[in-house]
Amino acid sequence: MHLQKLFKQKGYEKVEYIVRRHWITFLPVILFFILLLVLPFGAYLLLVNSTEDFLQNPVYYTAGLLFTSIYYLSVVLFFYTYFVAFHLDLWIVTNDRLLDVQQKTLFARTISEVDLYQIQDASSEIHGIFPSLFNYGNIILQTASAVPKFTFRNVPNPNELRQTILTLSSEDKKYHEKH
Amino acid sequence: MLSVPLSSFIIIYLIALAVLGVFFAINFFHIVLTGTTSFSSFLITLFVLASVTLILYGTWYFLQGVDLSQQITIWNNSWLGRGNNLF
Repeated sequence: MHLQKLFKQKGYEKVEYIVRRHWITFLPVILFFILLLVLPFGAYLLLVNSTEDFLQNPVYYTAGLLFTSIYYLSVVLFFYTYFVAFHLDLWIVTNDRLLDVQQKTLFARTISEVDLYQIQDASSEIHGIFPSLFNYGNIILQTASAVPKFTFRNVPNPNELRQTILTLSSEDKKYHEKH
Repeated sequence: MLSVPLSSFIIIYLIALAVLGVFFAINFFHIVLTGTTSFSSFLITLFVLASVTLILYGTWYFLQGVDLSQQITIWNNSWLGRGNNLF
């Protein structure tokens, strides 16, 4: 991956992990998408049953067809936009720092970062039935930087990732003590 | 009486299509330009492109039998005929 647009990689810096939210958190969007796809069929059956000659009128037919086409294209666009927001909402773990890329909407992105040696405390939490079943949850990092709290939300394997971050952090601390 | 051809619906449709096209492109370039392409993003983009192609083909297919040159009345003074008598 070439992530230059998201952050400028230092010469010695190596990307260790790119973490995204667990795919199961995207499931409600997929279900809502399916519901929106099915909705016009209900409306169509309702119209056909109430007014039999509805589709015989060329004006209603053309307008209905073009409106349905725009509706379905909008639904697909809605799905794609949500996917892009989900896809670009990520955390980058390098051997030097952590980056939190938050894609809030299509035109709103926040990127915050913290140096690994500034991490003071890390905790992971898995709350609820689905997080327990699919092993995802939050990692909360307390730091000594301008960003006092750094949160990884709904990431897979939070306990393992917390351990890895702490290991990387202690390695970075050792490096900073030497140099 | 004011009449317009049925094809004027197509013009409105094409304008809406252009707006949606711009947003599709913005989404696509968000993925490409940030360098976050992956198998899942490829798969979803492919699904989106296939869906859009299917929708556009379906629209074209069902529109084939329609005579777009026929006129539709969007305004007729006689519609207000009774109302005018009130004043």
